[in-house]
Amino acid sequence: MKTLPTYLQGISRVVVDAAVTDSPVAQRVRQKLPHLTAEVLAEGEALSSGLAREDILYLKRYRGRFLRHCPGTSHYRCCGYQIVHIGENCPLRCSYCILQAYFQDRVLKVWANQDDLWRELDQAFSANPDRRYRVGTGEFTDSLVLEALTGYSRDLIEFLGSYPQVCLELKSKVVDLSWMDVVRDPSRVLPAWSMNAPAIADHEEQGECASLEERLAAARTCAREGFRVCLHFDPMIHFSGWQEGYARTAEMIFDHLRPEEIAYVSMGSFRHMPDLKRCIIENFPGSGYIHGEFITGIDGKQRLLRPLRVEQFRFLADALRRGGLDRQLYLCMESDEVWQAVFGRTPADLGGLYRHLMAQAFGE
Amino acid sequence: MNTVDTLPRDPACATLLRCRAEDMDADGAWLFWSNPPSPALYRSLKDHGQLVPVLVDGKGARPVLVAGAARVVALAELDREILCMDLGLLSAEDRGLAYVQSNAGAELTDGQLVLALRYFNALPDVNMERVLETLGLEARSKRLRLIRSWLTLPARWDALLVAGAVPLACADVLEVFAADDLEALEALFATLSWSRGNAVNVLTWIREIRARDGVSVAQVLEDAGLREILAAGLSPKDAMTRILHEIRLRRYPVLSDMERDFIDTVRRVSAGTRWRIVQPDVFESNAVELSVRLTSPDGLRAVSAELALIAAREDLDSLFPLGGK
Repeated sequence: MKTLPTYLQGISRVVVDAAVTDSPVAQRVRQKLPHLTAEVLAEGEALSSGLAREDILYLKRYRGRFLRHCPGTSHYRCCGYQIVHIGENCPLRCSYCILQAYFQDRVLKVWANQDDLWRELDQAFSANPDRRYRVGTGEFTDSLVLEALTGYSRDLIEFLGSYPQVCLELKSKVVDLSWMDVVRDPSRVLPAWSMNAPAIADHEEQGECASLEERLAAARTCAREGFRVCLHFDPMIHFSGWQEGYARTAEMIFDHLRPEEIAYVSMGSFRHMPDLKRCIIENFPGSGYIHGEFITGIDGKQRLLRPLRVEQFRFLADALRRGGLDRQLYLCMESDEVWQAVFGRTPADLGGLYRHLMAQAFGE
Repeated sequence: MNTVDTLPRDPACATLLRCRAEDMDADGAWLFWSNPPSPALYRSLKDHGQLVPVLVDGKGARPVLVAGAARVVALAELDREILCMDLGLLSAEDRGLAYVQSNAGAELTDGQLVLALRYFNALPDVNMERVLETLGLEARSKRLRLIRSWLTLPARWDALLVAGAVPLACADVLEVFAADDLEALEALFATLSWSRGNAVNVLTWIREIRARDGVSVAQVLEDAGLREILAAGLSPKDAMTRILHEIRLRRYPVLSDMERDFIDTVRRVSAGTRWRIVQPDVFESNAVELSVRLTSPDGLRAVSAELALIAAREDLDSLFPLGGK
């Protein structure tokens, strides 16, 4: 049996809803974790409140909506990406991760009732076959971190192969390319990796994340196989030495990828609800960036003071432009004022961010 | 307090006795709220005598005072015998509870609660549920959580709380400081009594500067010129304003510069007018807001002319430093 990646070896309990014990996902998990006997939750029974740890894998019958809009905030420009909700939480330990404050526990949850997911997606995509969709699974979990156990992205790619109007983005901090052989059309799948300054990747992305080099090497593999990739500098962190750090990462990108192999690159400054600050101070007391000059933004979130954000965005954007990127660059959740200051244009000049990124995603 | 309320035991079982102050053990740790007798109490005892007995545990070689320390001091000064109610043999916990109950007539302050819980926490096998009930504290209340945080501080900090120099709301912030940092912080509160909001802010900023820059609290305070501010002979209010300003300047250096520049610009642009100009979004947007308060049509005409003067200025770009033209 192939050894599981290190980031999955800490799983010590599997809990499964009775309704999904025979689901493909549950069968795969049983096969991959034969030494663990799954605890079955009867219909109506909930995971006990004491079970809050990240070493528990919970295969759940999910009853909510699978296809959702990204929870963008008001007053700032959202990219309009839609979420295919496949589960919650992540075994990686990134100090800045919003999921620490977003969810009440750290249990790794996977929505194992995939038939319900397929039904909902089919209804949505078939109802309006001329409409295009840019969807992704990396909002409430890492898209690929559980792939070695669940094969979820592989299933999703196979399913979406019948819907050419849908472009799927898989956003991750690990390297798992096991899904690649089921892709019918590489132009409809966008492998994506989080990027950051090396010091941030080394110190703030704990828990066996792939190194920046490994991520970029994987991106290059994808590009050589005909995929275009996405890179996300989100969150950018303001720390002592950030200029050298982000400049180095920009160099690394162009050591691995050609500009035309990149569909888009996002830049988002670290922002957070007040609760996250408390989590970071408690869980990662060495993470001094949380004490930067944050102010309360118009949406109520804490944001780095605008001139500091603009300075970082401009710096990185200039470095990426020098490598040949331009219209692929966008800002995540920023105001027109910041767009103007960084790029000299606003989303309106691009025809609207949603439309622009849709075109980028579909390679137009 | 010259009264006795509910006692921990049936008063019918209690007996009365008289003794002199020097024959009584009045040094118990459960007398945690003791204060010198007030002039009013002293006058009352002098003019009307002792109307209510103090509480004692009389089962030992000499009576042990359980409650009524101020009366004992006053009666000793008046050279009078003390009327005591003997509650019988009491444990240290019961003595503390009797003391609390004998003083239960008034709303307990944060300082009193901390002093009481510091006493009870030090006892072995204490029934904390009963203690909290007697003190009127909800087990899951924010107040109790803060008190528990406070109890992690050195006991000498209690005097600052009791004196009102540090609000209990600071407990969460204070508990994360190391011993040497706490020692440095005492200078902030030795002569100044801080409001809750200001105290939480100044401590939070100091903690964050310390975490961000990796320097000691003593260094942060020295950089902020605390010693000079305290020695400058300012009023307490002015001293605290100055300390807050200096600490905030170090916590938010770029924002502080922007605010200072904006205020300078507003002063220049709106000088001689009634218009108030503010930046409403912590510079998150390019917007500024102008407002004026009017009481008459003439006033409206006058401020309109003033606004026209402002609009005619050629240095308005500095009012929108991030927005450009």
